[in-house]
Amino acid sequence: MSEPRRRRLPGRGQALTVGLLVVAVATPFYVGPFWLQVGLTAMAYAVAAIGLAIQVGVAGQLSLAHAVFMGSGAYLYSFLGGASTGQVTGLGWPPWLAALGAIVLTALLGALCSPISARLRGLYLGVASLGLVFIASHVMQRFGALTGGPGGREVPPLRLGPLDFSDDTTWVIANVPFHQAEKLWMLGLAVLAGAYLVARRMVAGRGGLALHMMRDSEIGAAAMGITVWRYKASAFVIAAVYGATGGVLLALLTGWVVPESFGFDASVNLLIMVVIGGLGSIRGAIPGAVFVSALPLLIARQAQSIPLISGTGDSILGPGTLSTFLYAGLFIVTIMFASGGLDRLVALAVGTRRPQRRIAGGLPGKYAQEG
Amino acid sequence: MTLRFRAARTVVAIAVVATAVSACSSKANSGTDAGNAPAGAVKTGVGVTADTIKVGVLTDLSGPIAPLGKNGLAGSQLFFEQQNAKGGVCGRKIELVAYDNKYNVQNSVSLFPTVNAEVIGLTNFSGAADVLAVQQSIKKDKMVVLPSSYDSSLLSIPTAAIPGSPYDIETINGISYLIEQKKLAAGDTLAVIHYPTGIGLNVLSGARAAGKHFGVKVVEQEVAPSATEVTAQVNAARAAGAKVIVMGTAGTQTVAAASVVQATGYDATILATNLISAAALATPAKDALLNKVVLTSNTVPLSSDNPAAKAFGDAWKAKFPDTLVTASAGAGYVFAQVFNAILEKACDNKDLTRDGLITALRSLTSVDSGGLQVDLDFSKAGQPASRTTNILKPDADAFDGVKLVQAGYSADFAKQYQPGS
Amino acid sequence: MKWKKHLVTRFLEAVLNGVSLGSLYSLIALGFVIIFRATGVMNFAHSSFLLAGAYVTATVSAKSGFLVGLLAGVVTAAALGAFTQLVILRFSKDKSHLGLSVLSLGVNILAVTEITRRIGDNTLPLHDPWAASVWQFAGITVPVSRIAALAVAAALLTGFLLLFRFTRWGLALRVSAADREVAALVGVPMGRVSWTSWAIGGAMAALAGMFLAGFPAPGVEPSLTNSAMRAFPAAVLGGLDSIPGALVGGLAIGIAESVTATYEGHLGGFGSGASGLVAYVVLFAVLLLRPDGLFGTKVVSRV
Repeated sequence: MSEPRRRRLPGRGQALTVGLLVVAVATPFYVGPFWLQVGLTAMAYAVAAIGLAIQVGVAGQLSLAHAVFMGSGAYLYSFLGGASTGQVTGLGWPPWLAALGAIVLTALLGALCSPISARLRGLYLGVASLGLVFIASHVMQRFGALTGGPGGREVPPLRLGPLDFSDDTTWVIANVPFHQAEKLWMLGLAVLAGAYLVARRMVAGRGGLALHMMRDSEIGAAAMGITVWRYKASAFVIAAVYGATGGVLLALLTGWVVPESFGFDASVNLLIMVVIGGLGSIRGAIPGAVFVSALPLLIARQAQSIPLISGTGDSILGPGTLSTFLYAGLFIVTIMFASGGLDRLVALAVGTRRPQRRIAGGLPGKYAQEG
Repeated sequence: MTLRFRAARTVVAIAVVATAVSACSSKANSGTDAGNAPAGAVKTGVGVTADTIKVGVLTDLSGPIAPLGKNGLAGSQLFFEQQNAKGGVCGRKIELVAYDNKYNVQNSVSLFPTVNAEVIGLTNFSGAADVLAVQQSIKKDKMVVLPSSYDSSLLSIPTAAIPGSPYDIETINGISYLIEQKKLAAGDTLAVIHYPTGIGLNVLSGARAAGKHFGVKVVEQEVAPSATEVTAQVNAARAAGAKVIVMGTAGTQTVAAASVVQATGYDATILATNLISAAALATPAKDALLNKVVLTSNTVPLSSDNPAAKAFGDAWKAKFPDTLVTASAGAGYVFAQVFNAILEKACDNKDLTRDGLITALRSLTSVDSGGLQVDLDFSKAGQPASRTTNILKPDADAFDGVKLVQAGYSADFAKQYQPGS
Repeated sequence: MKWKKHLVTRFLEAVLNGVSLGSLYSLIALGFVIIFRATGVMNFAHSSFLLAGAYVTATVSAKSGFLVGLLAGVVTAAALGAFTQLVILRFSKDKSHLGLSVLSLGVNILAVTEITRRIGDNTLPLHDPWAASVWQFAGITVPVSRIAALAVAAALLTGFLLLFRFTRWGLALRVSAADREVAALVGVPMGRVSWTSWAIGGAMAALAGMFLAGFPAPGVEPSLTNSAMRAFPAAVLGGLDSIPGALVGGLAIGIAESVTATYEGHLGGFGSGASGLVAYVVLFAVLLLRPDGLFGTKVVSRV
């Protein structure tokens, strides 16, 4: 409902979308390692955030456990596709199968978690799901044979048939050498585009309608013949699939996974991405992910050129602190004044006349204590 | 059908346009190669020009442990300023480039490619998990990094040079020292209160090995890094009859444990690596710290009678009159000292490339720190650079809160212990 | 028979220690609950209120004595709470509870970064009157600071229950917690109820922060912020909108953590480190049986 029905984009929107895609595809031909890495990280988070946007924004299931799904995807991929060494075991599956297996198994994990959502609502569900984050951290630290413990484990590079996404080979396209980061950029872009299109179709379809309805009123939805628990479970499974996909991408970027990447901070950041992107908006999750994962680094990079590093800790601000202030300030101002989040800004840019329909006051019922 | 066709058409169009646009990219191969130095001159690589050497620091400058990171950075800066005043290294000035990871692994991962393209190496890389997370890049691009965590799991990265004894060896030395001091004997019990992560597990493996070697029973108690409350753990240690409690934690928990031990009249000694802020001695924990705690460290106290420590203290006060000299500042200083030694060795070999730095590291069998830190020998990859430890005690009269009890202590067992075994 | 007595003492000690820890969790949870009841917002900025209160308490009491310091700390944290509501949340265009909760996260980042910078590489002593003194009886030791914390938490709880029952503010809060729209319709000054609740929540956080930084902790350090998060499950366990629930939830989590920490040596293997998790395990168990917490308002749906 909050997503537009399938219709032709207005001219300006279409031009902008295509323009943006051209820029995105051309980017690895030009930019250096900083922008590549920051962009890649943002893509991985964007894929995961889309899943969370469906779960929280569309289905109204507050989750603070999304990083668990990312971690599950990343670790399972490494376990299924990695080789056994002295420290860790691995099954040595071909990478594409490992990636697929990681996503499927994480979906199963999502289904296993979903009974929690059948019992709990709103902030209660949010805080309870936080428990999953701590349990997952415990597992990642403890099961050293599978996860490598606190030191983490190696991530096997991705190979899809003839396409090798590792640094072993270098593609040369238009005379530009494509190393791992450039190759993964193209992969990430394709995955993100696919993830976005699929999510839009899902949300616009009958299932999406049911999820919306369930968010607005569980009882109403049930009265309309919607099997509430099944849709709740499916929201969890969808979120898990997207989270795992984002997690695999993130793991591929670094070639090594550590438990710290998938803790409380990551979970909270994912939630910020979705809220700042505009709750209920699939499209907004992408700029939301860029905002949260890339902006602090971009500001810090700019702040670096301000010559403030001349004193010690306590007495001076320092570019790092300054950049944190700037980021937090921007973050507060965006939520305060960009009603509808970044999605609304995107809508203004592409010239969608009619603002996408949102529920006044956000999500009544789900986040208040009344039913 | 039309939809699919339109999609395909769009993709092709975008690809064509993008490729066309990128045809004039500056990244295109133009057949340059690095290190094309004339014979006899110093070979150079990433981060090195005719008149500067860029050295990086990747640490927390704005997050929860920013105070440590900033003081460490200032310490390193102080050293390189002194070095530059003496003419720098190889006729080049050292330029320190600082990056802020905000105590977040993902930020380190995102920043690393930039760091990697800009500097010759890292004189301070904070967060053991951060170093581990980017180890593939470190290995591939052969970057010499000094991790600011003495975590022996970092020994698996050949170019990560831990400038001191790792935590497990420190723990073994500490336990051996306590046995010599008759605080502990074969047949006794010791308790380990530790984090479930990095430093905690490292200390734990040291304590387990020492326990096995010395015939001491080891009981284990875990504490979450976010918990400041260790009363239950200390009580459990007492119930187990432990005579020594080894802390595999940061300073907060160590101080709390000491307070509980003191307050309950429990006759035990606490052994910890020195992560205690001098300011803790101005709190009610003072007596507990003075009575119950023995500390281990890779550096000597900055307040000690050592001329190098005095010189550092004076230089610090001249540069930052308003800031107390802290252990983290001293650590930044000695880290810079070690990195400088590697650079000078590489200069002697006329090879200031990444490869040259590794060769220099491997030929570095001692670093002249004026006695500021334990003896270092980086010649064996995968082996700790040191197996000696300074034994300290809290001291309320010292400005940095510690005094030296025994310098360069090395247990026989510490010499044969293999980390990770 | 001797070892049996020893076992009993040990268990009692674990429980008492849990109560002492739990009293701090209760204080933190109380602040959470008051803010949640009045505004429906999960206050993620609570850890910054706590740190700000403790920081000001420590710095002011160094010069002007502990009571003045404590007062300054409580006022500062209350002001920070009121500021968050009056200046930030009230003018937010996104009025959803989730949006506002996330907004409080932004406030948290700002405040914690600034206070961490001010504290620096330091531990600030509190100068509290009880310092390191302890009470000992029957071989069990309890810090005086924790007994004070328990007393304060109990007194505050009683005070709030009385306020709720007998004052206009309490009535307003009860009405607005029951139904915000109806409350506004019947003339409850929602704005005033909101910011006073945030201020009171802030004050509670400052008190909790003061006790947390006290013995056996060495003093005020940036790592105090972690403690507020540890009380999160306590607030939810009791029921996010229940005042007695905050006390019971805090004590329950404190006892569960302490007892597990005492005996986790016997669990071995995967069980070691369970004390870090037990809060959430208890939380899961309770919420699955009672989805609105132990004392939370039960949601009744009428069709």
